[in-house]
Amino acid sequence: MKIRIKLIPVAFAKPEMVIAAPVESNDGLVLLAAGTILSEKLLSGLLKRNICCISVEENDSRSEQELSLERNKITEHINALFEQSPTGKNMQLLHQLILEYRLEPLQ
Amino acid sequence: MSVPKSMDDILQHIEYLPAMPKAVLEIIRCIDDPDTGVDEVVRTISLDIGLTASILKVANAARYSGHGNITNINDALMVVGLQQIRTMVCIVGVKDSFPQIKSPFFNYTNFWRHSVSVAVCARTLAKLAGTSPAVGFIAGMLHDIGQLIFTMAVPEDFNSAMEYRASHKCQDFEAEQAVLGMDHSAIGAHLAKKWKLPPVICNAIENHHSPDVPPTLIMADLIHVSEVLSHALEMGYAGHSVPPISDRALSRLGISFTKLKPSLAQIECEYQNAILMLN
Repeated sequence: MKIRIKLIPVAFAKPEMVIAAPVESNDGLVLLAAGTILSEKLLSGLLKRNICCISVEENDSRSEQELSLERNKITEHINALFEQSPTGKNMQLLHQLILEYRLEPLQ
Repeated sequence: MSVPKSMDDILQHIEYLPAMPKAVLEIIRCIDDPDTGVDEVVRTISLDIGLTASILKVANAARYSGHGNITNINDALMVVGLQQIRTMVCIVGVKDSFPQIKSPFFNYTNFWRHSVSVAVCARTLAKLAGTSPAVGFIAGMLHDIGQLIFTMAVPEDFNSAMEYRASHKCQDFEAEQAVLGMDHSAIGAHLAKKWKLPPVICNAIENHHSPDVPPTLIMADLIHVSEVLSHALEMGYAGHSVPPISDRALSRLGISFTKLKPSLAQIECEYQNAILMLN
């Protein structure tokens, strides 16, 4: 089973989730270290400090075959999204950017 | 089908133009003013009972549970912070300014989600481009308000434009120009000027589909690129193809798509966070 890192809104976070990257305040102070297990009290504190998003660890139980199928499906979908868009260097770069971004969690 | 010939014709169809709450206008006008302090923002919001009630409703939503009941704007500020309060004012205040008219061709939920998605993209891209994230956010929220005017003033013609869009697989503004003789950016800018919004926001509304028409302003570039990015990330509207991008607008902003990847997760996360305020 792989452990993946996911950025989620604090509003969606739940106690027992594990922090994957240090949470910093707007002035750069580390509020929570990576590996911290969230509690109601910690979540409440993050909201109070106006923290919008946090990185958490997520277990991924999908097999390599399932991931491969998912990658193909996403590639098809993103290609279709850009199918009718005009071509051009920047549009190609955007297409590539979105494709890489969507496929990254499936590697 | 009678097609209106001018903007005045269209506006004559509306008995009352939407009125944005004075408090929202005040906060938009001074959104980028460092001299506007917390006390002034609180006082401005508190003067509007309807807006205060809406803000408290959002602030008391499940995401802030554990803080007890928030009963006034001062308490809300303590719990969610000034930036979040301003975001709430921009989202809730703008949305509540427009009546919702039933239409089989217009989905208000998707409309507001799209507006929020462009606003969130604009806030992030503004930081990269070295311009105001707060102004970018509100310009993003308001960029398509002309479509709401169409739904109120000429609902049948606007429905025809949306049908035209679907059958011709073109952009909204192209369908509106073909069917109505004008598009939402012109009528939206007209309303923004009536509201006496800052010229930079009016220009962004007017030129977000034509950022290369002089005078070119960075805020119009920002909203144009933000809209393309929001479609590419499929935030707001699902199933719409990605619209064309102005290479010159992107270049004026100094943004390169090759360096944008680290910002995408943050944009999606802020979008999920912001749409909670729509419900």
